[in-house]
Amino acid sequence: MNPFELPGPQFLAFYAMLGAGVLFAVYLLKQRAEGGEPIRLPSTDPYLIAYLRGGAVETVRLGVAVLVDRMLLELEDGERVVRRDRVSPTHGSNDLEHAILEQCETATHPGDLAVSQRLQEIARRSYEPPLLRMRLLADSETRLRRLQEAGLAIVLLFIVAAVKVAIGVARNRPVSFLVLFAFGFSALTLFTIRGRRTVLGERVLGDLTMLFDALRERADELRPYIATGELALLMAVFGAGAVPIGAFPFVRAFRPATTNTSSCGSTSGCGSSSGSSCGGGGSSCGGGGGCGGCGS
Amino acid sequence: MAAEVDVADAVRDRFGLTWQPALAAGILANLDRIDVVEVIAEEQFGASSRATRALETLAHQVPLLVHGVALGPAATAPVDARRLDRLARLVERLEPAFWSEHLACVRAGDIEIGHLAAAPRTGATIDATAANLSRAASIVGSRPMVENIATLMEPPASDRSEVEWVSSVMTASGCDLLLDLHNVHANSLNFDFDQVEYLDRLDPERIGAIHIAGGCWIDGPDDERRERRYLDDHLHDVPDPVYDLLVEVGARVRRPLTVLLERDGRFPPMRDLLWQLERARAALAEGRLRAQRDDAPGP
Repeated sequence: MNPFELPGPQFLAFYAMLGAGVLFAVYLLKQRAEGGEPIRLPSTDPYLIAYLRGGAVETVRLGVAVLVDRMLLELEDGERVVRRDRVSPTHGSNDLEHAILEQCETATHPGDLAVSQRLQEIARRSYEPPLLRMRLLADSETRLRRLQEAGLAIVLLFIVAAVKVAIGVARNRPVSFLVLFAFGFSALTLFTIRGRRTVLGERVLGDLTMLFDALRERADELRPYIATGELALLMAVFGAGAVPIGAFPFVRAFRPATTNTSSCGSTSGCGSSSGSSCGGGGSSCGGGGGCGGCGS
Repeated sequence: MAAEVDVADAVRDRFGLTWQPALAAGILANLDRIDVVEVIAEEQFGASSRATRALETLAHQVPLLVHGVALGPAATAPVDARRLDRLARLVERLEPAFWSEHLACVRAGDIEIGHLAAAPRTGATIDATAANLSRAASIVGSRPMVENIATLMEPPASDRSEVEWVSSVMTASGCDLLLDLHNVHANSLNFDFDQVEYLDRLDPERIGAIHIAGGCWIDGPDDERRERRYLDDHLHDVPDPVYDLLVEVGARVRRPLTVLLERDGRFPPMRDLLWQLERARAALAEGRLRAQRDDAPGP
C-alpha cells in the first residue's frame, strides 16, 4: 500500500502516527544517550545543586543567602546587604563567596548581586565543569547530537509532508492541515530535545526534589543562623520561593515582584511561600502522643 | 590519644540515623558525620516508584540499611510471602549493607495488632521464629539481623527470660543481633533486671548493629496499682544509661558495629541529633579503648 495514495483524512491520520513515532524515537534516543545510573552527588555542596537547577543566577542567590545566614553579610535598612565589620572576603569558603563578599564592601541590593555578570561568571566557572563531567548538564557534544537527531527527524517529517503536498496541489486538494501538522510535529521534536540538563541531570534533580519534599513542608520551622546547611539545601533544591520570608527577609529580593503568583524557579516546584514563619509549631516536646510504645 | 587512634584504625564503626523525610536536608548536609542511613522497609512498600527511585539515588550518596517493622517473624504462623516478596524487591533495588527485622509478633491470623508484641518465650516460638527467619532469608537472599524489642508487659506463658529467648533464636536461626540498647534499658526499668548482666549473657560476636533511642515514663493502666511504665517512643533524646550501655558493648564486641540513632518525631535541630551521634561515637570508642587496655599484657 502506498500511503501517498491515501485520501486526505486517512493520510493525516497516517502522518500523525508517523509524527508520534518520530517523536518517540527522538525521546528514546535521548533517554538512551543521556540516562544511566545516578552517580555519587556532591550532596553536601548545595551550590552545585543550585547550579544544576537554575544556573548561575540561582547559584549567586544561594551564595548571598548562605553568607547572610553565616553572619558574614548583614542587612542594612532592611533591603540591602553589606559585609559585616571585621569580615574580609577570605572568610568565604569558595570563590563565589569570596567574590560576593568583595562586592558587598558597600551595601548592595541582593537582586543586583544575583544579576551581576562578574558573579555569574565565577559561578559558571566554578560549578559548570563538574556538572558537565558528571553528565548532569548537556555539553556541546550532547547538544550537537540532540540537534542532529532532531534535524533528521524534522527532515523526514518535512519530506513526507512535501511529497503529499505536491500530490495534493497537483490534484487541487487542500493541504493546509498537513502543513500545520508538519510544523506542529517539528516544533514538538525541538521541544523534546530542549533543556540544559541531561536526562540523568533531570533524574537527579527530580530525586532530590522528592527526597527534600518534607523539608519544604517544614521550611517554616527553619530559623536563621543555626542551620545554614539546611537552608542552603532547601534553597538549592527549591529556590528562594521555598524559603520563609518571615525568618529570612532578604530572600524577598530573589522572588518575582508580582504578588500572589507562583514564585517557582524554572523547575522543581515551589516551596510554601506563605511568608510568616516565626512562632510556628516547632518541634519542641510537650503535647502530642507517642507511637504508643511500638517497642521498635 | 595514640591508643584512641589505634582503636579507630583497628575497628571501623559506623554511625547513622533512621531516614526521616523531615531530616533529609540535615542528613545530606552532614554526610561527613553520618556514615549510614536506615530506611524503614514498610514505608517504601506503598511508595511511588519515583520515591523509591529517589531512595536509589540516596543509596549512591550514603550506605543504606533496610529495617523491617511489620514482618512479625516471632510467631508460630509462617510469615507472609507477599511481604517477603516486597521486601526482597526493595533489598534488590537499594542493595543495603544488611537488612533487619524485629523479634516480634505483629498479627494474629489476618488481624494486624498495630504494635510490636513480644511472643511467648518458649521453645515452640524459638523454633517457629527460626523457621520464619530461614524462610525470609531464602526469599530475600540474605539473613536479617534480628532486633530485641521493648515490651510493656511480660508475654504470658513464657518459660524463660528475654535474653535467653533472644540468644536461643540467634543460635537456632543463625541470624546476628541488632541490639537495641534503649529497648534493653526500657525493659530493665519495667521488669527490674540488670542491663549489664543482660549484655553479659549475649554472645558478643553475634552483635552486629546497635540501635539507640529515647523514651519517656507513662502512667500505667487505670487499675488499682497505677504502675508507671517506661515507653520506648523514639520521640526523646537518648538517655545517659543508654550511652553507658554502649560503652559496655564497646568493651565486649570486637567486630565493627553499625550504631543507629532512631528518632521518629518531635525532631530537634539537626545539631542536637548530631551531638547525640557524637556522644555515641565517644561512648563506643571508650568501650573499645577499655577492651584494648584489658587485652594489653600486664607489666
